[in-house]
Amino acid sequence: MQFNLNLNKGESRGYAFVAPGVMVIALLIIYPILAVIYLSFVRSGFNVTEFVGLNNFINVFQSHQFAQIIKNTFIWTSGTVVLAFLLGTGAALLLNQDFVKLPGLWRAVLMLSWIIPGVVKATVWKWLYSYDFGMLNHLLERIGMISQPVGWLSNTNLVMGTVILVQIWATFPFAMLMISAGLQSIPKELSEVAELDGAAGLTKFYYIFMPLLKDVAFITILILIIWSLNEFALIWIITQGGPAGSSQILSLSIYDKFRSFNINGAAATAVLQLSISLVFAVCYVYQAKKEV
Amino acid sequence: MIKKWLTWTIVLCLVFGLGLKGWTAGKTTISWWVPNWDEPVVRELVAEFEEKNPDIAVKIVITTWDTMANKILLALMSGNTPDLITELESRIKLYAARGLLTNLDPYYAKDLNQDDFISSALELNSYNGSIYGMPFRHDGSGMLYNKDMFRKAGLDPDEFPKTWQEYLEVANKLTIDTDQDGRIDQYGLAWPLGNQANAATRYIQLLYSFGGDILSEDGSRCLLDSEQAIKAMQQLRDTIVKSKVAPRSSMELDNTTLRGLFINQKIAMYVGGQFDIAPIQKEAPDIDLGTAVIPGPGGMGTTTVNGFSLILPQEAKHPEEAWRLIKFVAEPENMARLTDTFPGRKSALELAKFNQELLKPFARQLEKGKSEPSFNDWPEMEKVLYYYLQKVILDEMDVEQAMKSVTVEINKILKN
Repeated sequence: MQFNLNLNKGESRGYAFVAPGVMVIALLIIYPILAVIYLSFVRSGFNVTEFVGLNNFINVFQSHQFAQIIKNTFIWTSGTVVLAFLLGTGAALLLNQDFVKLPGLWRAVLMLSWIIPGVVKATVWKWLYSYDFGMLNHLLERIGMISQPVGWLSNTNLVMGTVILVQIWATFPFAMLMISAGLQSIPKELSEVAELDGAAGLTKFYYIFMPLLKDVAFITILILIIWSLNEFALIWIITQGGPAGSSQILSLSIYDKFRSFNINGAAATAVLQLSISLVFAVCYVYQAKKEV
Repeated sequence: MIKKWLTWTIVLCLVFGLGLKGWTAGKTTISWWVPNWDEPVVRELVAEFEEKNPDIAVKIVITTWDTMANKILLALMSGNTPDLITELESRIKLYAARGLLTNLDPYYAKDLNQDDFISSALELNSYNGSIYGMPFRHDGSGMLYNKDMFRKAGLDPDEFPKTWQEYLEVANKLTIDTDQDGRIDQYGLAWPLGNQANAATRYIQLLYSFGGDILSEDGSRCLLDSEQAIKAMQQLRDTIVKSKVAPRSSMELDNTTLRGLFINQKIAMYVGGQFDIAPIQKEAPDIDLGTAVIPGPGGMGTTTVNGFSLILPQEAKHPEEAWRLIKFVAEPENMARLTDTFPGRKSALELAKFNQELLKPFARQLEKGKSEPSFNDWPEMEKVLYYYLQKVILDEMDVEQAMKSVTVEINKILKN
C-alpha cells in the first residue's frame, strides 16, 4: 500500500470530514492499549511506580496455574472453533439442498442461539446444567441414558467440555450464515454442468464447492478463533473459571488478577492475550485485503 | 443603555457578594465525605443540623463505593483531609494503627455512652482499647428458613435449632425425596460456593463460630491450619459430601442463585442477610418465612459483621465542630434514618423501624459478630482459600492437607 498525498479537492474534503471520528477512535483504542502495555512493564505501588522489565511476565509464566490456563485456552479455542465450523458448514450445506422446504424459516430458527444476548444464554445454560436441579440431568435420567446425575459444572474433567458445548451452540449459526452466503454466490449452472459431466456427491463437493468456499471459510475460522480467544462473559457466568481453576482460560485470568488488585499481572496477561490474538488478526486483515 | 445595565449588574453582584460574605462570617465550615447512597438522607440531616447550629456550615462531598477506599487513604496519608468521613467499619483499624485518626475516647466520655453501642460494632471501631469511629450502620448474617417445610417434616416451625449439631439433625430431616422417584428434591440447606467472596464469607463464619481465626493477632502468621479451622472446613465439606444435606450444586451457586433455590422451595434453610427478606416476600409471598440466629457448636454462632462509621481524621481542622455533627448523627432517631440496615446503637435498634419479627434475630445475632477480614492482601488470600475450598468439596484433597497448603501459601503472601 502506498500513500498518495496528492489529493484532489473532493478527497481532501472527505478526509477532513472523517478526521474527528478517526481521532476519537484512535484515542479510545490506541491510548488504552498503550496504557496496558505500559502497566505490564511497571510495578504500581501506593504512590510509586517503578520499572521492572519483564518481571510481571515472568511472574505470570511461573504461576502454578499457568500451564493449566494455557492448556485450557488451547482446548477451548480449538474445540469451539473446529466444531462450530463443522456444524455451521453442515447446516449450511443441508439448507442449500432442494428438498429442504422453507430454508429461510429454518435459517431464522437456527440463528436464534446466536441472536440471544450472551448473559441470557449463559444464565439459561447454567441452570440447565445444574447438578441437582438441572433439566439436562433430569432429561437424561428420564430416558435412561444415565443412572446418576452428571456433575457438568462440578466435575473438573467435564467442565471444559460443558462450556465448549455452549460456545459451539452460540457461534455455529455465524459459520452457517457465512457459508450459506458463500454457497449462494456459487452459480447453480456450475453444479448442473458438473452433474452432466458425471460428478456427484463428494466429488462435486470436493471440486466445485471446496475451492470456491475456501476464502470465506478461512475468514470465518479466523473470526471464530478471535471470538473464542476473547470470550469472557460466557465462561465467567457459568463457572467463574472453576471449580478450582479447571475452566480458567487466558481472558478469565486477566480479570481474576485484576480482581485481587494485581493490576500489573493483569496487564502482562492482557499483553500476552493481545499478542496471540494479533497473530490471527493479522492473518484476517491480510486475507480480507486479498479478497478485494 | 447596555453599559448602564452592565454597571448595575456588577454593582448588584458586589453588594450581594459582600452581603453573603458577611453572612457566612463567624461561621465555621466543616466538610463531610459522604458515599452517594447516603446522600439524600445526609442532606436532610445536615439542613436540620445547620438550623440548630447556626455557627456551623457543612459542606458535603460525595464519594462512591469503587473509589472511596483509595481516596480516603490518600487523603489521610497526605494530611489534606476533610473534617469528617463516612467509611467502612472494617478499614478503621488499619487507619488507627497508622495514627491517622483522632482518638475519640475523650469525646465519648463527655457525650456518648459506649455501653449503648452494639459490642461487635464497638470492637470494629476500636484499636488498642481506644475508640476511633462512631458506627451508625452495622449488620451481619442470619438464618432464613421455610416454616411450612418444618411443619411437613413434623418439626416445630417456631423452634429453630440452637446448636450446630441440632442444625445438622434438622437438616437431615428436611432432606427429602418428595415424589419418591429415588432422587432428593428438597435439601435441608445449601451454600453459595460457586462465588469466591460468598464462599469465603460462609466458611469464615463457620471458622469464627468454631473459635478459629484467619491470622494471628499481630497479623504475622496464618492460623488456617489450626484444629478449629480444619474442623470448620470438615463440617462444611461433610454437609455436601458425607451427610448430603446440602446439594452438590452448592458448588455452582452464589448468594443470589442460592436465594433462588429457597424461593423455588428446593431448600429449607440457609445463611443469608436481612436484605434477602424483601425479595423472598415479593417473589414468593406464599412461603411462610422464618428467621433465626446462626447455630454454632455451643449455642449462637458467630457472624461476620461490617457496616459504616463516621471517623474524625487526625489532621481535621475543626474537630470540635465535626464532633458536634457526629453527636447529632448519633442521636438514635437520626441514626435510624441514615442506616439502610441496622444502626450501631442499641437504643436506636428499639425504634419501630427495626421492630419487626423477621428482623429481630438478625439484630440479636449482632451481639456475636466479628469483623470481616480487612487485611491489605486479603483479596489475594481469599483466592487461595477459595481454590483449596473447592478442592476439598470436590473431594480431590484431604481437608487437613488442604488447610496446610492454604496456610503455607498465605504465609508466603504475608512475607512479600
